[in-house]
Amino acid sequence: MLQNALLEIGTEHLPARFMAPALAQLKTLAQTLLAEKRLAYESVETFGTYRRLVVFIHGLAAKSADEKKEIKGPPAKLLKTPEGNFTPQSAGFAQKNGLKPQQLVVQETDKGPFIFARVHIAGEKAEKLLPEIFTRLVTGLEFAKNMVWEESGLRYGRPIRTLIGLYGTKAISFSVAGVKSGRYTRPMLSYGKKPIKVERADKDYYVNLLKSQMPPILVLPQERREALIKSVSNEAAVRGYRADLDEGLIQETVAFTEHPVAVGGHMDLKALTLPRELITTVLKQQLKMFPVVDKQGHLQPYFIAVRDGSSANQTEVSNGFKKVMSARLSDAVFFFENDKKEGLSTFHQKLQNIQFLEGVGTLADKAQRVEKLAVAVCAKLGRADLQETLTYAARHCYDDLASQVVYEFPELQGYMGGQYAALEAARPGAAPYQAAAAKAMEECYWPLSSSSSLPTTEAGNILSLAGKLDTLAGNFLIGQIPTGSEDPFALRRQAFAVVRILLENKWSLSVADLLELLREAYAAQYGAKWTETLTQQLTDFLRQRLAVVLEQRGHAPALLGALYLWDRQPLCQVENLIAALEHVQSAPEFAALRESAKRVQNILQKAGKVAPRPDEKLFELPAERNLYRVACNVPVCTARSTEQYLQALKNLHVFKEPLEVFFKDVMVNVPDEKLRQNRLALLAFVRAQLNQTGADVSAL
Amino acid sequence: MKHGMNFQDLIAALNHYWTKQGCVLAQPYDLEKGAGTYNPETFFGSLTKKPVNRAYVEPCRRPADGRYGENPNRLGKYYQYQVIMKPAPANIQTIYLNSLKAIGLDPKEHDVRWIEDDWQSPTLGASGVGWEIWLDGMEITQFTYFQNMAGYALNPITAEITYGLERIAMYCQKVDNVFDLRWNDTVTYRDVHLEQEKQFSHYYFEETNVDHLRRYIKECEEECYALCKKGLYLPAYDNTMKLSQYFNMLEARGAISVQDRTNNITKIRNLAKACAKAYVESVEKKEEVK
Repeated sequence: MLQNALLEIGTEHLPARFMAPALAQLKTLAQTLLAEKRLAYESVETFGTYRRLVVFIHGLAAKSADEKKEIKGPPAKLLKTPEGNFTPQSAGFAQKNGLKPQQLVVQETDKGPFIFARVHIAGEKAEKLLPEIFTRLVTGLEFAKNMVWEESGLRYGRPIRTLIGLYGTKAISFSVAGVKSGRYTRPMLSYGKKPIKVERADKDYYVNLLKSQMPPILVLPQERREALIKSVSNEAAVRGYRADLDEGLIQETVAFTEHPVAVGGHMDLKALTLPRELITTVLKQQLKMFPVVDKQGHLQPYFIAVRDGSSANQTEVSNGFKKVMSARLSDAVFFFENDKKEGLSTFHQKLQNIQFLEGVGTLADKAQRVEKLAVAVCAKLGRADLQETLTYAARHCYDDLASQVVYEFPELQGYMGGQYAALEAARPGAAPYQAAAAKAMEECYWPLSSSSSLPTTEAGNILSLAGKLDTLAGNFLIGQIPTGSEDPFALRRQAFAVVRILLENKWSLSVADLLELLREAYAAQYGAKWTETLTQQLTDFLRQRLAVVLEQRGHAPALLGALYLWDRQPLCQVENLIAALEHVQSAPEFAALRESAKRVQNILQKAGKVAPRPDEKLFELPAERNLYRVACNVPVCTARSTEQYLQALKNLHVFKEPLEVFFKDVMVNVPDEKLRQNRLALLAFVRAQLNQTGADVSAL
Repeated sequence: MKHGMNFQDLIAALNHYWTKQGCVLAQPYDLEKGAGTYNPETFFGSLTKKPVNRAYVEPCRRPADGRYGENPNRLGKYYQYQVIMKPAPANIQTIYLNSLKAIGLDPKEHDVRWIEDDWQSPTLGASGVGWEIWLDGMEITQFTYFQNMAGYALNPITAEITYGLERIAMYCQKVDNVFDLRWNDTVTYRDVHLEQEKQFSHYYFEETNVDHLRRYIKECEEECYALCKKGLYLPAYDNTMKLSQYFNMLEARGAISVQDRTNNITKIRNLAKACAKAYVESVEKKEEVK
């Protein structure tokens, strides 16, 4: 009969960030273990809170499946002696597998006949297997950071305090880190310690049992999420507004509550004079509160905090939250006012004393390089109109790192610089480009994550690109190059953003050109250190990220390997070409062409140096003349859209027949050296024409 | 209306509560220190297998945090209440929550949040895993399971609970300025501490003699190593504490460059390690004799 099984790991407060990975891991781990034990089941589900991780196995078989195995032994000639007795080898092999020698069989294999033992392993009862499965589920879980708390020395996210193992109504006993399993779970920590008995492994029953506690425990994350959104939204609605339901904050709150209850309150009006992101950062990041906004999204002088548990004593709790918030916001006002008094030029002075990276100078040096690079990129893109904007923006985009607000709230880097620049741009006598520069500065770290938006202006994109390339080069220059899983400075993310900016803006700027401009920006101070190897390392690094970006955009990144000089053309063209190659690659007529191209390639590879074009006068056979004529007449690919690439690739089909005839009729490696060289030159010319799109047809 | 317990009653209530939990009520250690963890009870106490249960008030000095008594939330000297339990009892979280009840804060009536916060002290070469505990959004306690001390991986594990006494009292008494706290019914925190705050801020920011401090640091370092060699780890550790305080004073004076800072932190960590080593060796020697 099928029954359900339940495992609950009762821990002390797991950090919010551990929750989602732990639940995902537990599910996979359970599936793996059940498969290993050959225990059939209908489905595995995991859910829980920061104090209880739950694995629920639906429809678990009563017994594991029998297993028939054939175990290979020694070669068949060792079965018996010439006298007809079993050899020590075969007898030993039989014994090892619990068989009599007579039960051994001989089977053919591709290495000749061998002795085999056919073993039959009977299935075991689920309740016999579950203690081991549960134990390994608990101990197999890995956390981002571990600790030790008892003498067994188990390393875990937080201490384990209770364990429940149930199979139907039966308790399964096992123990981990000194904790014995049972059938009791705990109420919320702040609300007493009377254990709650779990009678059976039934999901609805278990979920409702926890929900019926006072206060209720919502053990399903989805239910907590719904309760949270409802409670927070109501709290905003009673004030006539709506809550800013930040997805990250929702997820975090769902992970650190068992029963979320919203608590609203007032915010000092004085605080509303601060830049919006500064207020919301204090609220969301520091205090885990939801801001309140009107229909247009303008901040309102309220906050909504979330408490975990009951809604008793709301007024006092709200006052407590308000007090903390007021103190934090008045700190922010203090820092912001001080910063405004200082201004960008004062910050800029301080950059000379802040080291960017040991070995590549200060932030002032970095700003100088970024300015040079940004202006050069601007020229290359033909946007002379942005030069003044970029000069200003690049010079000042790191100034805010010397401000008090960014010192206190590092995540506001860029944004605050933009705010301070905008304040200065609004002053009488400010240059007209300062406003645009402020916008570019505000977005100079964008995209902030792999999927978030690029800067909204062209200047912002150029500035972001220049800053990131400078960081990459600086790190590479001092040998901080990511390897394997080690990437402490998140350089891959920076390179990823560089690729996205180049690709999504469809800039006609190649990686090679860009790295040359970067080298020039570094030349004044570090010219001597910049080697060809460094350029190559940076190119390779960007190429790896390009492959990832292409894959995310639905392409086959392996095709990058077939491209000649991908770094000499704009990335949008690389993408177009790859899209075209994907089209033709699977066509059957293309396969024949690829085979011929491979033959051409093989012959040329062995040939050494060959002239790029043949001498017509030396042709002896019609197949040579014909192939040359076709190669000369094939249209030259000049345009760079996907359709144009596609057409160019289709045009190559004219080579199919002439090449086949050529290989049938013409011997390339003839003794006559002159003739041989001419035929090789013909093939070299054909190869150049075949690969004129930039893709190596033979490697597709 | 009078809200919450007087400051001295808050301390008395915690003393009473932790006494009942079997803790030895220790007294503050008589040297300046930046945090309660520096107390030798905590430092040495966490290192060996022997059970330790201690509770004590510990005055902390942070020279750079002084504000001449003009800031309602910042102090150059304030109090921590420290509890050390080794091995950490399995119900230590509940024991802690009950201590809040003992000082008039019923966890059922408030939001008590355990926010991941892993403590570390680069100068002690120590680290732990735990939480900062929020009461209605305010951080009132640091809860740490020590994992390493002076570079030694620990087992059994010590739980350290550090209450921020002034913050808790301000919350309970509903005052916005620390100096307005009632110490008892007639005396305020201002009466007890304002003059100290003023004079010590003045001293730390304006009057300390940098050359003297640098000399003291050198002397403490020499003395510490010399004492360690003789197995006198307690006075050796006193010198580590003193050096650490002189270093904090130099920093408050703005006399420390980034490089200097790193060097000094390393210096203190090495001293702490030497003291821990001398202690562990002496314990091992005693066990051999038995």
